[in-house]
Parts: sequence; structure tokens; C-alpha cells
Amino acid sequence: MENLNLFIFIAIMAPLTMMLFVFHGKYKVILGYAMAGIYICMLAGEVNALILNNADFGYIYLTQNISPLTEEFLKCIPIFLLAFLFKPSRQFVIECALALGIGFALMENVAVLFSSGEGVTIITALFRGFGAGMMHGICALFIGLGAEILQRKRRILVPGILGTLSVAIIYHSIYNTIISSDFMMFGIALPLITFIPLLFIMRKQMKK
Amino acid sequence: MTLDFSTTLNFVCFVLTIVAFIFGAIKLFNRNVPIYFRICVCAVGCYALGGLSECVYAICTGEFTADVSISMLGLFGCLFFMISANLEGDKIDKREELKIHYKKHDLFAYIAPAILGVALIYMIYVAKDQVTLSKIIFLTIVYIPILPASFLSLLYLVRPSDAVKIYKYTKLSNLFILLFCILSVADLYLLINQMWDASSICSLVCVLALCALMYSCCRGAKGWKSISREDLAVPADTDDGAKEESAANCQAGPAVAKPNTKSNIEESA
Repeated sequence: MENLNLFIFIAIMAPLTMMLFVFHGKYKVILGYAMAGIYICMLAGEVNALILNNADFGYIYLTQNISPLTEEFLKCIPIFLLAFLFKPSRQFVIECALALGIGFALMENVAVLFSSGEGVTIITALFRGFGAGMMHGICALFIGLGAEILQRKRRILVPGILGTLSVAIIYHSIYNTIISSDFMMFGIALPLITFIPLLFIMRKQMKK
Repeated sequence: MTLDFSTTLNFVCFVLTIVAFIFGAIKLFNRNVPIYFRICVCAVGCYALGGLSECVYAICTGEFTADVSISMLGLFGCLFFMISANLEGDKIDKREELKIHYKKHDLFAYIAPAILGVALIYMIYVAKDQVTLSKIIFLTIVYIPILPASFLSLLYLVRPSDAVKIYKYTKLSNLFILLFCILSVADLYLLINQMWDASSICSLVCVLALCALMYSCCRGAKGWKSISREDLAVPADTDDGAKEESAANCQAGPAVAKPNTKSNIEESA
């Protein structure tokens, strides 16, 4: 099937779009960000395919060095727009960033598992789901935290954005390097050892 | 994977950076510490992430990437965090008379980006025959932030701390930031000339500079807290952001001891 990704995209987006008319206020925005994540995943896939077709490097080089750059760059745009144009609360920026990251991961996982065909097992699905899901969530969370801090500190806006983006890109690249090697099973370890302390710190800060 | 001298040294560099980052995060990552020092911790963390990327690549593929790779963004991000730290630290000082007072020192600070800029242009000129155009563009993008980072670090290094006392506590940190910038340019020179072992030694010295930066940040944070509130006061003509920063810095330490009245004890609880 030629346009499988497009069909999946339509199948996921259609019910979510209907839900968008039912939800109100904060929930509507969060759902909108999850949908934006799904859309950005499609867009990033097209951009990566375009780069791969026009460049002289292979698929592995693309996943390790180029796709983290394009994906994180595209992901950061809506998060920074939300933070700087609407100046919402700290918690809301983080929630929207997480929704965007999870939306991205959802679309990517579905597309990858469908394209893998019969080779998919429950182990692959679990590792893909938890590993890539958490990784995209954490990358978006880094950007969300950066955006939230930078909306209060406009003086360091440009260096701050570039610094935050660098962190997200390198983290994404590390994960991609692990899963494209023989140590694929350790791919889940990186998001796990980052997510748990991050969750702990965030919960502690929320309590304060 | 054969562990040669260069590879081993790169692993040592990564371990040292991670240790420095954890040390900094434990000591400095709380609300009572001025934001300058917290951003310095982020800079070291970003550099450590770049090192981790190199190590993971080495473990997964069996060879250390001596080529241009995404792990170089660790340095890129680190430099931008260093610039952010200095720009954020500068917020307190916005008085016009101080700008005139520091005019000579500010002019002197242009020496650092001028020298490093000439060195970078020379290296890119040398590298043009050895590497492809896309890699030259990538290297230029990665190393360009060295210029503002070195300028800002030298600026706060040469400014006397007579009028603004906090400069006294950021001087040592800025000295190590400047050293880090110079060593990074030297590292690039060695990389371009394919002197891998010497480059690894230079990277190790870079990492040691970052470790020293973390130590100096801990010392600086303690000193900053001891400045009295009057010294951090911002005049009325400054913007709101500066006032907020000043207020945050005032909260940072036990500058003025409060008497142990009942209301104060309740407030602190």
C-alpha cells in the first residue's frame, strides 16, 4: 500500500478532530497539541524522506544525525509559540509539551509497527511503545521546561532556545543510535533512567 | 572495540564531565542559588550529554567518531548556556553611570573574540582542502558561539568589582569559561590536523576546566549569598525584570539577619 502512513494519519486524526469540538478550555488546547504532534510526525517524516533522497548518506546516518535535528526543530515551534504568545502557567506549558511529544510518538510508533509487517512481536511493540514514547515525551518536556523558563527571561531568549534545542537533539540522537545498533534492547533504559528522576523532581516541585 | 589511548581518554572525559555535572546539580540546583550558577550547571550538563553521545556511538559501532557528528552540539549548547548565564548575570547592572565607568574595560574585552575569531577563520581556511563544504558550514555554526561567550567572560573578568560586588564572585567562573573557549579552539585545530591523541588530551583539559568551573560556581554562590541587600539594590530607572532579579538575589542568601521574632519564625517555617 503506497500511502499507508497517510491512511493511518487520517484514521487517527478524524476521531480526535471530532473530540476537539466536544472539549473546552484547557483540555481542548491539550488535545490540539497532541494532534499537532501527530501532524508534525507526518511532516518530519516527509522532510526526512526528502533529505534522504537528495543526500549522499544512508538511512542509519540519517536516523543518528539528521532526523533528531529536523524532528526536534519542528516540535519546538508550537511549544515556543504557546509559551511566548499566550504566556500560560508553568504547568500548562509542560502539559502541552508532553501532549505534543506523546502525539508525535503515537503516530511514529503506529507507522513503524505497520511498516514492519509480520516481523512485529509483542516484545517489539512494548519496547517501541515505552522506549520511543518516553523518549519523545522527554525531549518535548526538555523543550517545554526551557520554554517555560524563557518566557519569564526574555533577555536570554535566543541563546536559551538554542541551548534547550541542543539538549533535546542530542538526547534524541543518543536514543536513535542505541536502537539502530545491536544493543536495541537497551534503548528503553535511557528514557527510563531519565524519566523516573525527572518525574520525581517535577512532582517535588509541584508539591512546593 | 580496541581501547586505544584516544578512546580511553574520551571515556575518561565523559566520566569526569558527568561527575562535575552531578556535583553541580546537587550543590547548586535549588531556588536559593542565583540563576547565573544554575545556568552554568546546565552548560556542563549539555557538554556531558555530548560526551555521552560520543561514548554511546563508540559502544554501539565499535569506533570513536573522529568526524563531524551531532555530538558536537554538546559544545554548541554548552556555549549558549554560558552566554545565557553571563547575560542573565548582567541584568543587575543597568545604571548609565556604570556603563561609562566600565567603558575602558568593555573595550578591552573585545580582544578575546578578535583573537579567537582570527584563529577560527584561519582554521576554516586550512580545513577547506581537507573536509567537505557541508562539514565546514557545520563546524562554523558550532564554533561561532565561542566569540560572544569569550567576549562576555572576559568582560566580567576585567570589570572591577568596586561598584557591583557580584562581579567578584563570578570572576573565577568567567576565567574558566574563557579558558574553556580557548581550549575548544585549540581542540578544533588539533582535530583538523588529525592529531587525535593531542586532541584527546586537549579535550581532557577542557573537561578539567569545566570541573573547575563547577567548583568555582559553588564558591561563587556562597560568596554571592553573603552580599548585603543594599549592594544588590537596583535604582528606580531599571526595568522590571532587573528588579525581579534583584529581589530574587536578595532572597538568595541570609544577607541581612532577621531577628528571631515570632512573625519571622512563622514566615521562615
